Amino acid sequence: MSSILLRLEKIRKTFPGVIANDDVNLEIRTGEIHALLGENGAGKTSLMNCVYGIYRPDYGKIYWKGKEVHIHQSRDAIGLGIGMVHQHFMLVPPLTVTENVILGLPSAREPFLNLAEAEAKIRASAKRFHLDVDPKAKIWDLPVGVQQRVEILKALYRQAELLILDEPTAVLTPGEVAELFKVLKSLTEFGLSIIFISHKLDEVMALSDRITILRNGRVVDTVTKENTSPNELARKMVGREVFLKFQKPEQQPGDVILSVENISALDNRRLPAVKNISFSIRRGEILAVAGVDGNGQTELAEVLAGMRPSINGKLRIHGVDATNQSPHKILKMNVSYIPPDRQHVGLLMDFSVRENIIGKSFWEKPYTRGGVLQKRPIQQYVDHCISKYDIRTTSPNLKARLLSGGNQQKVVLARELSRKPDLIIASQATRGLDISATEYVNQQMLAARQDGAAILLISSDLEEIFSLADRIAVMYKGEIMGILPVQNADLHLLGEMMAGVRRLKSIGEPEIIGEDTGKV
Amino acid sequence: MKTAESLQQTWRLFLSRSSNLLIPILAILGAFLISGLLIIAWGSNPLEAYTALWSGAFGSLASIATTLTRLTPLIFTGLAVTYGYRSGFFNIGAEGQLYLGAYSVVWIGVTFSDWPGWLIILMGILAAGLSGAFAALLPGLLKAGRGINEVLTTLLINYLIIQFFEWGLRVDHVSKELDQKWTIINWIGLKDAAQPYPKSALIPESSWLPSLSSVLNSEFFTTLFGDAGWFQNLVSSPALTRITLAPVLGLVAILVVYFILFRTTVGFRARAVGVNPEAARYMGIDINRTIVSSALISGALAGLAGAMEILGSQHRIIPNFLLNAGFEGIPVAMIGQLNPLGVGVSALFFGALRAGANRMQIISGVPTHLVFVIQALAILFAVAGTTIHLTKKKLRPRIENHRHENTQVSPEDKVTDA
Amino acid sequence: MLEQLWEILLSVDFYVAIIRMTGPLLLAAMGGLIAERTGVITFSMEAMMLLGAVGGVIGSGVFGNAWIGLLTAVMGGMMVGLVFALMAVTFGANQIVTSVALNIGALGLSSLLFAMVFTARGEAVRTTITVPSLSEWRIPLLADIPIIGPIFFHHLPLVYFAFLMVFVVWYVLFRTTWGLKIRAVGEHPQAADTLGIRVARVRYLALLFTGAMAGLAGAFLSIGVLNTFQENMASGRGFIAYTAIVFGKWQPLGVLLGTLLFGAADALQLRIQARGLPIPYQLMVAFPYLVTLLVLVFFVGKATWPASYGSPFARENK
Repeated sequence: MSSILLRLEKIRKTFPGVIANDDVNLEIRTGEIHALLGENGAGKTSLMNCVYGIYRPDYGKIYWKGKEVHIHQSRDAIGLGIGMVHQHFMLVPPLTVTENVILGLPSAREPFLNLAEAEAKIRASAKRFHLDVDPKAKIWDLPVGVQQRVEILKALYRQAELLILDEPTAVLTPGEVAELFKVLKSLTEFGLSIIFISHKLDEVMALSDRITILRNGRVVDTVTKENTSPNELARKMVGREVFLKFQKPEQQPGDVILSVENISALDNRRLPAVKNISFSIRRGEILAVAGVDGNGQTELAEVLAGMRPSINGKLRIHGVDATNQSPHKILKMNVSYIPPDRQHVGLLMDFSVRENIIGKSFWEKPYTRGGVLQKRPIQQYVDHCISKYDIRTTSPNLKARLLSGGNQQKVVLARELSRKPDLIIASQATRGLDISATEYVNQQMLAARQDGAAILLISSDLEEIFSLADRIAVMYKGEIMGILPVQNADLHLLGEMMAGVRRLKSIGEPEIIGEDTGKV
Repeated sequence: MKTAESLQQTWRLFLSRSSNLLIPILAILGAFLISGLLIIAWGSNPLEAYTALWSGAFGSLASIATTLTRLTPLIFTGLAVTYGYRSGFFNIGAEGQLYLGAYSVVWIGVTFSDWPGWLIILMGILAAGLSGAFAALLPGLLKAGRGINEVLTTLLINYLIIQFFEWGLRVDHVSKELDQKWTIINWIGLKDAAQPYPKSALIPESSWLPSLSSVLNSEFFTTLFGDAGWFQNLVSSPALTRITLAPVLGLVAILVVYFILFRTTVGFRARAVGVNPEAARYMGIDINRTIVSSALISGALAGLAGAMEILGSQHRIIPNFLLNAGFEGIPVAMIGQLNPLGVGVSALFFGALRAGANRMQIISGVPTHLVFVIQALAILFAVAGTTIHLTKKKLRPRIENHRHENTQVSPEDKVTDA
Repeated sequence: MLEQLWEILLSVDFYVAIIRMTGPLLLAAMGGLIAERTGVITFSMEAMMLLGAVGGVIGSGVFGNAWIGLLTAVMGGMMVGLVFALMAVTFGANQIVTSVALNIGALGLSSLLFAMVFTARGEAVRTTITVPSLSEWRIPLLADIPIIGPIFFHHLPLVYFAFLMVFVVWYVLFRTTWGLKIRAVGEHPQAADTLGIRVARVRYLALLFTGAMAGLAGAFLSIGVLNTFQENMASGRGFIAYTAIVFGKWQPLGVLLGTLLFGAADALQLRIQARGLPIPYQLMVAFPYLVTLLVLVFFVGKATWPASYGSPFARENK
């Protein structure tokens, strides 16, 4: 009979203007593997950071083994027996495994280290828990999968009874994932409990005993594996019924503007992220890319924008080969790119609104003559953009950092859309925005569509996708599971494709030849 | 637009604008205050000391001339550091670049001593700029290509240049008067062959920057004011020859750098890369090219500092001819809030301190070294003030609503199996 | 000329000089290395040496004992270390600018303090003085070994201390929990923080250590070698110590080599100048810098410098 190891009661955590977790109740039993499932921004990591002492909840209680505890820093959590393996490892690369494991712990004869003794203990631990690791190796010489094992060993060395893993499979190859799951299952046999944060449905189904789904900072439900399916999980993760907000005007798409053939690309960890993707987009058409975040969509967008090399395949814009061209050249082909991270990549936060708006046009006439920026044309252009895109700012000289998120995104839109692009790549353009800002962005997308732009819209918001798309492509693990016209798509079907459970037989063109075409 | 939001924005705009002025002013005041305590410890009267300091810097024509002379190289090195830093390239090798620039100017002047004065000035300035840029080229390339920290590289090259300078100062330069065997080394060295001391010959007087004295002594002014007593007094003052075109060129440089930074595409790219290289890349800017070009411009400005000192003031090089002006460019730039206009004011502060120090010592007995302490305190206070201010800014909440804040997902809304 | 050069290189006195000139560099560099390893730029060692030099003279002159002078020298250096730590660690200010400010200020403050302490009322401002200084220790037996003896075993106690510190620093860095914390803070302060290590505390203590060691280095110059204080006594040795750390790629043995290189260059160029040899002695002085630059350009590896070099550490918003 297992008991309750950790209990969270009515946890609430907010940041300036953002509610990360609200009224969260969670129970973790001894010896179970409990998954925390949810989209990006659902609040999974911030919740666990509260448990691990990195954040302090604004409200709510934490009970450990039945007693209320106050966790103010990671040290406290470690002292209780909680260990956490973060997405970005907390390992010191030039130090050895042993040094990393014993870091911060007092030695028997302070300050002298007994490395040999520690090594022996680590070897024993590694053997016991099936975590093969060379204690003398330096972290930066080790493959990522092994580094992860060190992180786990670190926790076990500190007598962890609860192990939290934040998106552990994001950095692993499929083989390493299987290894990890074996290790985790065996750990539970030793009595450990495991919290497994993920957004990957199949893994969650394979590994966990119970699953708690989070959405927008709140708990949607807690289910046991036996009582659920990937489809159900997808639905809970993503939202309920979808209603069309806009009546899209009917439009006949024109000629092909973007043609992608067999593009493949690696992610930042040199693992395959985009695998042989092919599709095309026509003038006046919105192709939406649906999928759980992290399945290669971001990398695909970066390839199209010239920010990431493609390792094979071709991409053509207006029929001209644009494969692996510099961002500047692609810009010149009249392509606009709205990046997902407006704060670090989309905008220059310390530049003014004005400077950001002309950021991609400043070298063109009439804004520049002979290398000198022309004040008047720029001012006119900026004023025009501010009013057209409804940017709320007291002055065009205001630093972008001081604007609200919605307004910042409007600046990005102004910069991108007022260039009258032929091709727009919008990657998570409405992430983190409130309802009115989201609606505004959507309207702008439709307006651009009407003006004849071809748009690739990457989004994890199905509501948005259903409202805007002419066709919907679903990406799963770097591949396209299918492309279908929006009339033929429904939540059920999309959910299956997003979960990797269904693949459409003929990928790429409007006709679906599948098992059953579930209609709305 | 919501009033609350607009009010908040206006307040923040005001704060960010005025902080640029407030922080340096408060820092300087604080520095004087604390140093006042030291003066008391020394046994003198702070007010007397500071008054003497002021008069030593601005009290007479001679004082003003000294102040202007001291501040001119600081303007250029301050601009050099400012431009580089704004572009993400922290140039701390300005000292060496300055030395190299001065060396080139003297070399031109001494080698081509029969050229007309204006040509020597022109070519000298050109050579100084080019050599300063050259000194910064390698660090720029290393940073762009290999990501090697430019602080380390500019520093090391700085020391190498200074040794070269020391060597060149002791090797006879080819001299037409003396009939000796000259080798190629003598074309590089700069020592005055006629003298036993390690210093160069003077550059021809025609190439000295015109001074206020020559301007006022020209026909135009003598006919205009010739008989007036005050004019006679003014013109006969020896200090007038020390006020040259150099500080005017410094002012020009400030305006030019301001223009480049804020009104040209070159400056736009430089600043964008300095703010956020990754975002700049997304905007299609070639980061590597920008880094190298910023390094070159920064180095050129520092080289010009040396040129101004030679053409406008010393007219030759001697050992330690301008100690520390390169490194001082860093605090000048920082206190000037990395703005060319601010650099001008900041250089004025530093120049005035140096100029007034002697008088302060003579009148109140406080050793000139106190001036270094005042400088240091001002920099420390300014830097601390700026960082504290910036940290506060970043932590201030912005108005950002979470995605579905207004749609309450109540417990009953759990999705049931369809 | 070649014979003269050979003569220099073969003289015992040359090698004694190398060791002696390396002394202050080694003291400062070993102190700086610890702080550098925590990720802090110790460009302000020059200021620490200056205040250490004047502190040494003041302590020795006022109390009549050179050993008290060492104590006050350490205090002087540590003061600079403390101010720097306040600026760089607590305020998160730019470390290069702060270092430049401290170097400028120390230049003035050291001369000012000297004048303040040693100028009697009504007298002209003092600029030199003779104070009790340290004397060399001759290690019996070992110093009698021909050649090796006088080179290594007849020096100021500070020299022995300096070389001892190479071993101590190495041991602390790689064989103690302190060293582990130091290296972790330098490479990945966030990781160290999550494990309960107080990053700020580690950096403060490290900088105090640097101040103490650089202060001793300054004392070496004032009460060890010259028995007095001169304006700008350090003459850039603080910068040399910093460069030696870069040359040594932040490893104790490498730093030792670097300081020896600079010490040798210094000893050689002095002798070349003294004999009026037609070799440009500036080449000697420049040589170590050139080698350091080459090391940087060609031998930059995964962790040449600590990963968090120069960056202030701030905890994520709670």
